[in-house]
Amino acid sequence: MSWKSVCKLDDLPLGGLTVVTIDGVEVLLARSDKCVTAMPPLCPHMKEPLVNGVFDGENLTCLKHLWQWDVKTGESLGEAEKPLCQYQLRVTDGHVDINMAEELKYEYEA
Amino acid sequence: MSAVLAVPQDIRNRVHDLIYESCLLLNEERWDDFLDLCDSETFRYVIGNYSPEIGKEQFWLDIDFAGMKHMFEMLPKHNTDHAQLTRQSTVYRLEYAPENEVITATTGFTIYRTHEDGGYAHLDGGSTCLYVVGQYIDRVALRPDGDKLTQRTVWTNTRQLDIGSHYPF
Amino acid sequence: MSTVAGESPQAKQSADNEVTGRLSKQWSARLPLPDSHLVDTRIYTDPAIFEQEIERIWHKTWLPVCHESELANPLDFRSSGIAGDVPIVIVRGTDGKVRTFLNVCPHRGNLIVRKARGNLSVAEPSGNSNHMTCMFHGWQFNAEGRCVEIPRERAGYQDRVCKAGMGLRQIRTEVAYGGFVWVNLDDDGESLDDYMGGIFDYMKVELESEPLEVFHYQKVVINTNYKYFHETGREFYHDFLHYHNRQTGMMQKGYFDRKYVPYKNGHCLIGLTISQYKAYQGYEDRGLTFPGMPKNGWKGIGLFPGITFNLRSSCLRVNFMTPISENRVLIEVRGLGLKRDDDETRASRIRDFNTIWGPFGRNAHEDFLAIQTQAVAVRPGSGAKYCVMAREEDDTTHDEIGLRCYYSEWSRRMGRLASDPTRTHP
Repeated sequence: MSWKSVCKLDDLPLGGLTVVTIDGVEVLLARSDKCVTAMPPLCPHMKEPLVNGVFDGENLTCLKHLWQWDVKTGESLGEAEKPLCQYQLRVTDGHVDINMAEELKYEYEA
Repeated sequence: MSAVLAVPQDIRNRVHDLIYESCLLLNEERWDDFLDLCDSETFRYVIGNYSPEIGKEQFWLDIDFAGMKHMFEMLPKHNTDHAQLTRQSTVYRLEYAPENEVITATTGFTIYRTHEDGGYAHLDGGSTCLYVVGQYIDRVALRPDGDKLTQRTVWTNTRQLDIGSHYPF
Repeated sequence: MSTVAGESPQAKQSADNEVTGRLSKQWSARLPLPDSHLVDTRIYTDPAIFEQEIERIWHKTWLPVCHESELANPLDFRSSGIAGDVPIVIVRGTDGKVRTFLNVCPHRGNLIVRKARGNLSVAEPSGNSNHMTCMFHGWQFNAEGRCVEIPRERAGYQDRVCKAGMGLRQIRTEVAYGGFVWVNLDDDGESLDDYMGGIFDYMKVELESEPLEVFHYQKVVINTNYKYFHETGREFYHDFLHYHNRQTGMMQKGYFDRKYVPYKNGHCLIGLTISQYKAYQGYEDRGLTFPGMPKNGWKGIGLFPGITFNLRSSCLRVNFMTPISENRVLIEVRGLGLKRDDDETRASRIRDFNTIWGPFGRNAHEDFLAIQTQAVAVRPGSGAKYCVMAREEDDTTHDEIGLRCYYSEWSRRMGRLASDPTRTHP
């Protein structure tokens, strides 16, 4: 386990997407009143930055080809053909940490 | 913006007059009179553009006072299209370095080309088209005995110059 | 009205009308020259002949499309076009290999890459990094030309259309002869080396000793036939057009001894000569040269169907053309130096290039002017019947053998005679 301090929970906007860099690795954070999750920043499909996508508090949609996921679980919805990877995340005393044992990456076709 | 306001009005007028006069003299092909506006020791005349095709700035003319003089002197020996170039210019920005008595002026210009005998004079002679769009970046030395152009950089957005020109822009 | 004593009014009238030129019949008559020594002007003006040239010549021969320095890094691309308006994209793969594709989406026929030049790792509104994306429906292709994305593929096409069957049309590509990228639309024709037939041995040292780099890129679109422009690179009799040439070249001892050497496939080279640049007011000697090139040296290669490599001591000029119609051509002018040039050396090469070949240079304007007015004079119906290419001077400078070797190849490939396009090439 390699827990890294990210930020205060209140630094993350409600209903928003935020990219942070931890030890040189970019991580996308999504926060709503239902969940807080951390994931790799690029779409598993064609590397589109997911921070440019739409997050409605539950579902995240990449705007390039409209792949969509349940952010709480990372499960695919609709057009998506691959699930989202997620980092382990914990909130302690209003502070967010994530487990960065290794950088999560998707396999892309050439 | 502040640079413009910082230039005293009399200097602004002098620089505007110099640049507009330079355009008129070039329009009228009064080459020697144009050279009189340039500093014979330091004058440098450059025409450049940016080529996205090779990803580089490129310079299609880069000559000094003597080079320009030679160019003008050789004009009668060369074949040319005799097209008349008409420069329309507006001085937009002056930047003043009072300690050096030097002004840098940015002037937007368009050049119209009136065809004469470069093609079918019977058909095209006397017709006019827009030829070049760009900016003059001039450096002007302020001197009691007459302000002089020390450098003119002609930076063009237009990269297709048709059959080219033996005349400077 | 008084008349001069001893001369009738009728006699004066007849003297005024004396024919000093040629009447229509004589003007239109063919000179007593062999087929090799003149061409019929219809080969410059007939749209049907132009279409046949595109099909039988331009789509069958090796053509340079850019220089390797224009796409130096992996995933760099360059879009361009081939004769008759065939849009292409040249891409350097992650493996370093340069490939060329038809720049046409196999879906609904849009252009895939629109920029003249760029790198595929840069995100565009149309697509993500590392792929070429057609902005219209988001189809994506990698640098090897494979189709890697069809949005909502399965939903719309089920198994009827799939990525595997929708790769790009790949075009034969070689990087050679000074680092130029050469392509050939004909999948089955001869190799590049066979096509050149060894002509580049003549510039091997200059072009191959070390990498070159483009410093000048200029496009010139002229309403003229492309062959007129290429002809200006194949005969130097038009030294008379250029004051600069008369002063720096023709006045020099030995100038007229330059040899033209025809090669197979209509290529031709022009031998080395030494120019005296300082003879032109305000110009200087050119000590700076290319590897293997003597001071002030000048040599050239003309390639069928319209490419010239012209090396004047410090700078190489390479001209390609994209014929657009029988009376319109895009000419691309490149100036090259050595990649390792320091700033001062490069500036010196650029200065030398500009004096003659730049858009403000002494010669380029005159050449373009001449081919523009030539096209005016031989418009269909103008009355111009023939262009004469009959100078014979032991294959030297002002001999027109360079033109004759071109039209011999032209006639062979077209299956008709340049001197009379209604007749079949034997």
